[in-house]
Amino acid sequence: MDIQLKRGLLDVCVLKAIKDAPSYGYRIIKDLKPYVALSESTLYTILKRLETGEMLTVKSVEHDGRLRKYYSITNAGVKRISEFKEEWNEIMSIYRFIVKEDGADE
Amino acid sequence: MNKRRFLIKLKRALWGLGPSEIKSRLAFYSEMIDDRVEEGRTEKEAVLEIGKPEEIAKEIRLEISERPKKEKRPLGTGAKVLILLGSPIWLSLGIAAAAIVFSLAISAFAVVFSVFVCLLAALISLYAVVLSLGVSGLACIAGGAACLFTGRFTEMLIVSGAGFVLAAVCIWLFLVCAPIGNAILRGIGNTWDFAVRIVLKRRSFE
Repeated sequence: MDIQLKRGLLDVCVLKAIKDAPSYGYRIIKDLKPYVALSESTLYTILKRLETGEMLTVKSVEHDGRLRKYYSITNAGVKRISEFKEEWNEIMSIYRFIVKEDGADE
Repeated sequence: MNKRRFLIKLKRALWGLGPSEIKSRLAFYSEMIDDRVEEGRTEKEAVLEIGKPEEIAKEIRLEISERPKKEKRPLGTGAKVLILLGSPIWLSLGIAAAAIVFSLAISAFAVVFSVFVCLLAALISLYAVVLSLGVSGLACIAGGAACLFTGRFTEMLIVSGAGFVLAAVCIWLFLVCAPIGNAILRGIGNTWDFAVRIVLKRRSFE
């Protein structure tokens, strides 16, 4: 898959995973597992990118005698998800056009 | 491989990256292992699931190299205005600093140059003394020889004796001064070479 497209998709996936409630690294990976296999290093990069883009905030919370980082979505993050949905409508209409073209040729 | 071993290996494999980058990555993987252990896995199983440290490090390095480079932000209007308003201050300070550097360089050169000149002058005067001794010695000998013709033996003996003494002193002084003179000339030459080398090195750095 195109790296730029995949990057955008994964960003939104991670945002969706923390949309309803703050979550932490391992849980995000587990929650996304049925849809997309995410390696630790990929997740790290996505989280950093989203943090830099101010789409999420990070908070270290003590858990069981150690620190665990919790990621919470920001308003900008929520907005990014709805933007993505709109973009996807466009992409889907392009997709339908491409598929129809293929069908007409045959 | 247990968690500790994994983190040590990963840290080693990430050698060369920024300290904060390494620290943050290690904390991330540490948490990942801890969360898996909490779910009931052993440390060994958790580490196995995450992968080999060397391969993870390779992935991290690749991804860092692909990271878009930070763009240089153009100066904002506010910054430009500040620079402009401050120009009387920083401009004059800059000129003053340049003047100081320039005068320091000139005075350093002057000091070195004057030492050279002093040494040369001392050398020249030394040789002048030696030469004048020799010349006057020769003159005395010639004078003594002249006395021989006029038949004044006592004067001849005194004058030519003085002439020989002067000539001897001249030769002796010359022998003593030659190494000193050589040393001074060599010192000047070496210092000059050194200065030239420093200047050339500066150039090649620029």
